[in-house]
Amino acid sequence: MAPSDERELVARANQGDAAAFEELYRRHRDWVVGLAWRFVGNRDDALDVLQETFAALFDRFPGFALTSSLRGYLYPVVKHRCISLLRKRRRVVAIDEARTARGDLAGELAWQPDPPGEFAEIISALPAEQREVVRLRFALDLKLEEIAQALAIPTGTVKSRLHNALKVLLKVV
Amino acid sequence: MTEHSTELDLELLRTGEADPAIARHVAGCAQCRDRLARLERDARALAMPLAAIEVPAECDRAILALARRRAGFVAEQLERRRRPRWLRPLYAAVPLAAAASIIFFVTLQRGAQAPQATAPLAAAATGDINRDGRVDIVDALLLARALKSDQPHDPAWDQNRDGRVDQADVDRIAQAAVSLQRRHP
Ligand SMILES: [Zn+2]
Repeated sequence: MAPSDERELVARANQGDAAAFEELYRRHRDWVVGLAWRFVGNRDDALDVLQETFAALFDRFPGFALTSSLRGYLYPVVKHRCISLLRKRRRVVAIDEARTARGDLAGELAWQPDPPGEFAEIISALPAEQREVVRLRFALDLKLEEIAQALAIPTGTVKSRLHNALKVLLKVV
Repeated sequence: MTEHSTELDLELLRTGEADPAIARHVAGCAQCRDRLARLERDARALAMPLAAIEVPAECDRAILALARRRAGFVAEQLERRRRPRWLRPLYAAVPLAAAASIIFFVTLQRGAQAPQATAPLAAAATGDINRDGRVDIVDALLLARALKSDQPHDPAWDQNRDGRVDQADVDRIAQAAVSLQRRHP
């Protein structure tokens, strides 16, 4: 569930309260631009995605309904804008073919390398769909419901992916 | 004997999302407490804080300006909804560009009802395509749809009397609708 003050902000923005719009931006700016950077790997593109993401968010008002949290809502928006930007730059080609061939997720192709560490190798060995759940959970610190919203999958699916990934990560099979 | 918690149970407990029963078990089970402690260590190792990207002031300004514009638009929308229904078309001051893009979008999206070419025509050349006694954006919309459809063009739709019924006639109605709204706000 979204924190009640986030719901309150969204409700005020739905009423046309300019201060609420501005606060939504201030609260989520750094997270959005940091996430965008993770996908695109450079500041200029990340800033473009930042602007596009908030323009898209603002356009949802009035009538914006928050289902989980704003981060859960923003994650796929940022991800898809990054992918289309990379595609334009031809840094990501033939995403659909890659997905079919390797069972990969489009976002995976763009995600900046995980920092080296004891888990880096294990994470890279996980199936792509488990890997994305692990990153959302541990790198981006999202709750179950937020991950479900971010990936548009049921909470039960998040649980089973996380469960399977944890079994490998913690080497308790 | 209570079963030990699964890795997922412990992970949910770590973030405060677990069932109270799991918390109760772990509180009383040394083995699960150890596993939870290990999971907390692992979670820290997995954590990957997002890089702090400096956002230039002009970027902030641009987005905040957008925020205020949208807030103004939302407030105006709500205000308009509060007005009596019969007054709404007069208040709907749609800028011409927006009207044109809406017309384009709607005609693209739906092949909806178009005006009947066979209906009496007297009023149409004034721009009142649906003959509801006023010229508004709905008339432009209806004519745009009619142009997209296969139905025969009614000569009375020729607003600029250039012998053709085309987009120029739609634009003319849209323009008339907007200037009428400006004159009678
Ligand atoms: Zn136990």
